[in-house]
Amino acid sequence: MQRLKAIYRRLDRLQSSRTFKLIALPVALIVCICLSWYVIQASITRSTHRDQLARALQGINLKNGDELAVSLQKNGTMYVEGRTYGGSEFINPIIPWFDENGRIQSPARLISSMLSAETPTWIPLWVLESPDSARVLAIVMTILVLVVVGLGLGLKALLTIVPTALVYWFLQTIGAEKPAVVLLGVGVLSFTFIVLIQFWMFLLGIRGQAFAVAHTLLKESTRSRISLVFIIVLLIALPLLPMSMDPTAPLRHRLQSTISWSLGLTFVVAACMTLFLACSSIAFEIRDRQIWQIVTKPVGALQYLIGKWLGIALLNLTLLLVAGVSSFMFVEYLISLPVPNTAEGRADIQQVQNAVLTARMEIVPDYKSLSPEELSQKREEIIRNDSELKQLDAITPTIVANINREIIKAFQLAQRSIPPQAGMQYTFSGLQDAKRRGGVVTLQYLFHTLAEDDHKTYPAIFVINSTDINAKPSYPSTFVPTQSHVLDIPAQNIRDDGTLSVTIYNLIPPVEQSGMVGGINFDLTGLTLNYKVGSFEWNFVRAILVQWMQLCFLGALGVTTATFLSFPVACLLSFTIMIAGMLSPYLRGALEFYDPGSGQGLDWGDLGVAIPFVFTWTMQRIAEAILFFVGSFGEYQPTNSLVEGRYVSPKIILEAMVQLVGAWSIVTLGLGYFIMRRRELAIYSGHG
Amino acid sequence: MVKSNTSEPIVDAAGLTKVFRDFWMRTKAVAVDKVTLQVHPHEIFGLLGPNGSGKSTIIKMILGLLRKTSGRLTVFGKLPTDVAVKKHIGFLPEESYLYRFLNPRETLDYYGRLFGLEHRIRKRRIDELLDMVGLGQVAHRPIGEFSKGMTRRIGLAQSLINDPEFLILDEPTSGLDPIGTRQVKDLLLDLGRRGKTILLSSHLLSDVEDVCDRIVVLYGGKVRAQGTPDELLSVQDQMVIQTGRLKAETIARIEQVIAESEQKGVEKVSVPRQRLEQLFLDIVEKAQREQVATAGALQGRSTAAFLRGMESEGASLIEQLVTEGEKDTPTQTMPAATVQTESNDVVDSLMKPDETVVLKERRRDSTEKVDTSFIDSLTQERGQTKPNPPRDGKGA
Repeated sequence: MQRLKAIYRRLDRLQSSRTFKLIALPVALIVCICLSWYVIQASITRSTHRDQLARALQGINLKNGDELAVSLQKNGTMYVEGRTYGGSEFINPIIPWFDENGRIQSPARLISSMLSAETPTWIPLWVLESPDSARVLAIVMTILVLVVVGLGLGLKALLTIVPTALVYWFLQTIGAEKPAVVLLGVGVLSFTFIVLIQFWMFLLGIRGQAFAVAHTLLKESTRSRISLVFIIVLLIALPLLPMSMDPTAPLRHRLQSTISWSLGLTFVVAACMTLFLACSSIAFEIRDRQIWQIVTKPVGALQYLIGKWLGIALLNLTLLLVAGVSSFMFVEYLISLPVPNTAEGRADIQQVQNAVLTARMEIVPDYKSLSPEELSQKREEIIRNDSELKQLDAITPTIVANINREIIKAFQLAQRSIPPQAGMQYTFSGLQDAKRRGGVVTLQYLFHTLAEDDHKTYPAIFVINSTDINAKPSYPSTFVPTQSHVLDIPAQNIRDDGTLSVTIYNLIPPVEQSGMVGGINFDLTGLTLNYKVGSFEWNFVRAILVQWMQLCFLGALGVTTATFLSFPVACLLSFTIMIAGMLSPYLRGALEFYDPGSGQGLDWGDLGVAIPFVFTWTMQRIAEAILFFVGSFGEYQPTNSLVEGRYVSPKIILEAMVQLVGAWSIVTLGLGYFIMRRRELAIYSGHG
Repeated sequence: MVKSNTSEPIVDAAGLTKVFRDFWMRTKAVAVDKVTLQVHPHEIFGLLGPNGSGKSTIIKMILGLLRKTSGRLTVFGKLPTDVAVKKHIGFLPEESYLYRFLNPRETLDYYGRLFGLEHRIRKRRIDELLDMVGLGQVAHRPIGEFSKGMTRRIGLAQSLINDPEFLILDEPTSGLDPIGTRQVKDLLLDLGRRGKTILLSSHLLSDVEDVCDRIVVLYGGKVRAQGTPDELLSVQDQMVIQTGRLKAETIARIEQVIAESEQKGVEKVSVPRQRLEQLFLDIVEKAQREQVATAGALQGRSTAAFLRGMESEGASLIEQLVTEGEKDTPTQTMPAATVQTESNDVVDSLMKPDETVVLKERRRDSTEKVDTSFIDSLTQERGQTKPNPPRDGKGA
């Protein structure tokens, strides 16, 4: 044992030496570049050939005597775009290539088989299937290897990876596949986390008091129980989450669940950890007087606070990177799994490509709004026709506000309702970019009917750029209530001014057999036009960046509250603000229906009326204040956007950076600085 | 840039008052009440007083941890809250408030970085300080596992990492064993020799008495007495003569001579006793010579080289030569403090001839102080109450 320890120490010293690093780093870089180049090339080649084969196989039929089909049947080969695929081993497979009608049974299986001979088996299929994944993986792995070598962690990496791989192999051998994957996941994620933390600490080694504080906070985070618990929970839960999914569920649901759960869980865990760590780090330092040893050094209060904030921000970035890479890889793995060659399977794949693994712009129709005159006119009409209102001595502002709200609501709802046997035209604007890009734009719709029978289908026709039901192009369709549907429209239909009109005709008979009226209605997001503007991979990265900025703000919040409050109170306040911020979209919606009025004409002598008014008025003001200060926090929902394939634009990142980091975090830290400067950090001890 | 000017006091307090108030702004305590004091460059200044006398409050105000209620207070001629001032201050609080999750090396590195020290300098100083406080062996164990004394040693080391011009020590020997206590006193004397300014707060009279050039005695937040130890402690109407062991008839004759010539009697005649501290140190040193294992802190070595003004490459070379010389001599087995005090002399005389004079003066003082301890024990045996005369920091 002593001998082994001595060998380990010697090797550790060797890998930590400058000479070793100077030699090993370029070697590692060259190896990584070569390997990455090979993998990326293999992936590009495979995806090109796959697409060529897919195009060639489209619509071929053996019974029609199609050349490719005949060649496959006779020789087991196919000649596509100057290349011959297959060979004699493809003649008479166990499961025939063609069905009884002469069509190819499963093009995906055929393509996969044809390409298997020419792709290296040691590269995971999910990497080969997507060149973007291969690129991301290559970059991540290269950085990881360089960091490991540069920080002298190679030996530790070997000692972690080799035993983990051995146990994984053993568990695989005995058939315990799930525990094996979980174990491998935990091992890899933990090691990645450690490497990244070491990397940040290495970078924070540069001169500067704030960096020193951040460096120590990172050490604290990996050694103190309060943060370690969250980190461990996350590192174990991330590989476990995919295991808990139903493998028979549609691919789209599994993908969306994977993204939503892993990134959602990561955000919640990281947010809780951020607040606990930020509050504890400073509040405990003040309570336990370690702060005396710091502020008596040449460290300004701002440097101290920024150091703490920076440390937390880097820790969060590490967690998000680990979680991001983990969920991204699992998504890629899920995509590479075979999908049943059924109508549902094909629709599933199409939905995955159109609605999940994409970055699309989502545009809602241009809904009309009422002008003040129209609103006033409608209100007067209601007051004139309402017998109860007519009897009132005076129409109070509260009543006016309530009537206005009802009118606006009814007006909006009317625009999203299509009566039976009638049509409604919706215009989408700002589509110049989509027209320029070409391809198709996707109309996504989720309709409700009063019957809401999701076992029935209902007819509808979508007419483009015309209100005439017989005009072309038009798309007759059916829909199932409460389920999302998509309709691809060629982008060439977009007018030069960037608008596209869609008239939806509701073909449901006026009265169904059940006696229910067959009107269609939908929510604000129930009818949208989407078009692809970017790749899922970069959308994923942008979504993580937005999450990180949200966490940065939480870090600043925790740091600041701890400058003047004890740990539990600081946590309470920080969590309240965070939850209020996260719930702000709901709060905003609720406030629309929560208007106590101005209080004019109120009988203040009647306490039964006055007290509820004061209460509701106060609640409204508090809610408005929350929305004013942190309302936008909850508006950023990068995970939701990612799950639904919506484009997380650079503009959103810029907004988040300016608002969450540039404004809120700086203002919050400024407040903390002001408090720290004013505060006496020593207290009366009673001992002079 | 803050720089101490020998003509200007490092700490200048006039009418300094600190009143603690409760939430309702009612006076809770007047911790410091119109204190006026000055700490001059290159002096070891003692704040003496019982618990609650205002010592720590004054220190906290000097460090900017508390704000004065009224009066004037400057440190290096600036406000105590000025960040630039803190670059020149080393501070050891009454308890060592350190991160439990860091080990000694990381702790010192952290504080070194807060002072903006370069990596190379930090590394060297950390090694020297850990060696000095005897914790080199446990440099990679988390501080959370340390005893109070070991933590105290790290606290002391962190207060010296920046080689401070002005060192503030609040109860520095609290929690330390006699060896550690002696080392702290030695260190203070070493630093004093190098011209450092030290503010020492303690309620342990011997701590202050052994090392301070000037003392302020506080009680109830007010200054009750101020001056040098000699001014405050010397008993003008008594004398002590120390000799080898005398026969009874010799003593009788001396008594007779004194009675005849001075018309006074001898108040106390006794055989001197060894101090308990010295006995303890002897036992520990013997055990260390016999290499008895200990899980705690080792006996620290000499004052870190950089604290003796030897941070330059040339100085390191000289120290290396001296250290190698020591290794070759039999004195290596002698108690470390003795051996290294000798080496200090050599190095100091090579590096700082002016300071050698100071050293010798202090040495001479120490010799005188040893002699007085015998007289002290003689007088104590006769049952007479009188203030303790000054003693050597090593308790010899």
